[in-house]
Amino acid sequence: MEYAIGNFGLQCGFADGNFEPVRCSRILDSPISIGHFCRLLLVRPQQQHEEHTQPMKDRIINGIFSLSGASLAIGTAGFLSAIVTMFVDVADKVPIRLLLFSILIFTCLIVVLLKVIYDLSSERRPVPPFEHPIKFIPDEKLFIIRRNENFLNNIIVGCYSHQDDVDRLAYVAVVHLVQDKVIQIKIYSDLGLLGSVPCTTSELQALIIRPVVPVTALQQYTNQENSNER
Amino acid sequence: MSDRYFAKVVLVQDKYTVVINAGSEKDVRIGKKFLIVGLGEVIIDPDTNEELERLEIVRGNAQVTHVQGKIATLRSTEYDRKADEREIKKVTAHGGLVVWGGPQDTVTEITKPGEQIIREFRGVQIGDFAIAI
Repeated sequence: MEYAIGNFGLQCGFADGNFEPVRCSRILDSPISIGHFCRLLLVRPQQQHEEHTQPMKDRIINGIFSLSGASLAIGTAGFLSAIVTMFVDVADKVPIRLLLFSILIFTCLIVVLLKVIYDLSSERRPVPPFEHPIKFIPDEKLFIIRRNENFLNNIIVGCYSHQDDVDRLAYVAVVHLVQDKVIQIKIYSDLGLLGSVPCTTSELQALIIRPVVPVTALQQYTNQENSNER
Repeated sequence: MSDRYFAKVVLVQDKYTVVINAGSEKDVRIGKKFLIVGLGEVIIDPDTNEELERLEIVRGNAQVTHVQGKIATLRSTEYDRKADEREIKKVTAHGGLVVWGGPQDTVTEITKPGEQIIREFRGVQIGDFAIAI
């Protein structure tokens, strides 16, 4: 795995050449642990998208009732058993006061952990700052993307082609219509980077739509519009 | 009908005017704006194969111009603008009191704003939906 810092922030890559940009500001702005950061680098793009769309509650349940959760529980039980047999005489009598105290302590701990789980289940992860198109409608020159709160009606967006680990602006587009589950992105200016508009699933996956457009592209777009008017 | 869709197009009067099946009984007032859409193909998520929703094909933006009890008339509010016309006039002044300066040129540039033409609805038909905006 390797990472590189480019125009759009940190990018992480995998052995199969599948790179995915990770915005630095997102990492720096949010309170993030080292483990979470490493996981962020290790997950693949599709996993990242699934994580963003999957509710936190489901992720917690999947985490607890997974193979790693079961092995963790067995390991913890074995460790506690070993510690107790090493330092405590299990045949000895235990005063009821100590037993009640232990029960109280463990009940408090369990309640605190349940509260943490409950809080996490209601937590929402931030939506990704980009989307891959899922369909192209050639008649209307429309890209269809999944609903994303970063894409507001009528804003200018950039369609970047991801080739050779570099993102290049291919189209300047506008959010045409926001529907309940999908968003229509209309191409306004073809910058001539790609020979033909991507249509197949693999080609669409190589295209990244961001609500960010470089000012030079905007100037180029404005000049093109002016020349068309004349 | 989904909550998103306020009313249906029941008549296409001409390229610029449609009638919807909602009027003053549904609190439609003159000047209220609508987006007219038709429904297209179903969009399927390629990752999950889940049917997301039907694509809305935008026919155009419209504004209520006349309201009756159960129907309202809407007219397109989108315009196409022709390119601005620039006219440059050069006038050369001779004689008069201006002797030592020679003839003087006056350049006048006039920009006429392009004409606005109302845009017709794109493929609107009966059964299309009106979304309140």
